[in-house]
Amino acid sequence: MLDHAELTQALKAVTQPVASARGLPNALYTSAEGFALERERIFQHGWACIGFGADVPNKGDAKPIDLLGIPLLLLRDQTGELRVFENVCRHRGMILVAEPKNFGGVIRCPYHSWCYSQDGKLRATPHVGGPGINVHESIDPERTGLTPVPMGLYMDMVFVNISGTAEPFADFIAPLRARWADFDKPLFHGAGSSFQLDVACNWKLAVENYCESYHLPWIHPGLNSYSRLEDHYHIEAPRQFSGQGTLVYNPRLSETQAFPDFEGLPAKWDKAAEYIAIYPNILYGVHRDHTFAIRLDPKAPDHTIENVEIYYTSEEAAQSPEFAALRKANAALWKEVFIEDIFVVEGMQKGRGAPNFDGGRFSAVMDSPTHCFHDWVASRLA
Amino acid sequence: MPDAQEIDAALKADPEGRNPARLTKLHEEAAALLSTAEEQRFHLTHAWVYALVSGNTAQSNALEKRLTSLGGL
Repeated sequence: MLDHAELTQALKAVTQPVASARGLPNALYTSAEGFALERERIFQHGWACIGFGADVPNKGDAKPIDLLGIPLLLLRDQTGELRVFENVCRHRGMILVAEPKNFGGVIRCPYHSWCYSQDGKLRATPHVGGPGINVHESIDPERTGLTPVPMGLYMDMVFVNISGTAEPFADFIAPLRARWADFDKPLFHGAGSSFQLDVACNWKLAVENYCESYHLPWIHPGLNSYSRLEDHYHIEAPRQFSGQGTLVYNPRLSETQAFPDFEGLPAKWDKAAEYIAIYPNILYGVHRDHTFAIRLDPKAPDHTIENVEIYYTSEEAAQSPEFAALRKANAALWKEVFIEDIFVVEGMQKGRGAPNFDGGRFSAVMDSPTHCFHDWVASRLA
Repeated sequence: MPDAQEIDAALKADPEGRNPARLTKLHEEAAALLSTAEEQRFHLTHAWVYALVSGNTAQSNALEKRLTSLGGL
């Protein structure tokens, strides 16, 4: 049970300065009520990532998406524009699209065949007025189309705001867009570069771990030889995003081949890379020759699916057979790194079962990006 | 021109509507075998829906005209 009075007190402790703050309380990692509260206050009332443009690459492609039990439909319409609707027929609430498919024409509800054009308009209501009578005065097609969901697109990530009450997407993403203006370039989705990890932990633990470099020497020892702890720096945009950067990005996938870099990058990015958690549920990495996105899909308080997509700087690097082996090696490398994190995030999840664990403490020097995220969550739930 | 039994069998062979263009044709053929406006409207409605699913604008427009003339739209 979530005691709201206790939660209020606990959240006050989270929003203290990092040196004296406590972490988020156990109930927000273990309870159904905590999960439901976050579903509403974070995932419905704010911007959350539901997928990628690469999920629907062709005109007419549609993919059903479950966002914490909210049925959505991601569609690339016949003009190539991305749209998001509630994946629900306005008639009797039937799920319209149960699996990814391509639509050459309307989207037909499998129950009574109400049809919607790809811009969401109600196009046909067969037999609604009786057999063979396809109109009725009680159904106004102008007011009975698919329910659109506000969406925004950034670096091929599709964000939605279910409630329609968040700030405009342009305002939400502006600070990160400004920080990463150098990467505001076309991205090409890597063929064979997608993978999923199924993790027994609350979604927030994946964010918290990603934000900090403090764990790198112990959990990712392979990095120690070329990217030491002191080569990393904090990134903190209070109540927006946080993460870490490295001054030593030095890819060594092959002796004879390298991915092409983004054109026109300032010299800073020759060796730097940045890894930022875009609250709530994207973990993003930028490098001079590729980017990746981890979309966190919370399934239960103690269960998260991590969906990983990798993007390259050119069509050739992303799709050609010439780069296939290198793409495979890059994906395998990142998969290995992300798998190394699993036992600690799952271990922290188990630790949340300790009744006297009080949310923990933060290293004021090393944990501030993680505390930045805790503070944001607390502000959303208060 | 197939008979009613053949059309019925062909319709039953595609319960999920995987071949909407063929279903449009079958329903038009079924309507052609029927004599009353009510019977024709039923099948032309289905023909129209599957033409919309196919994205065949010319065909769906033509079927809308027929349905309108029969009182179905």
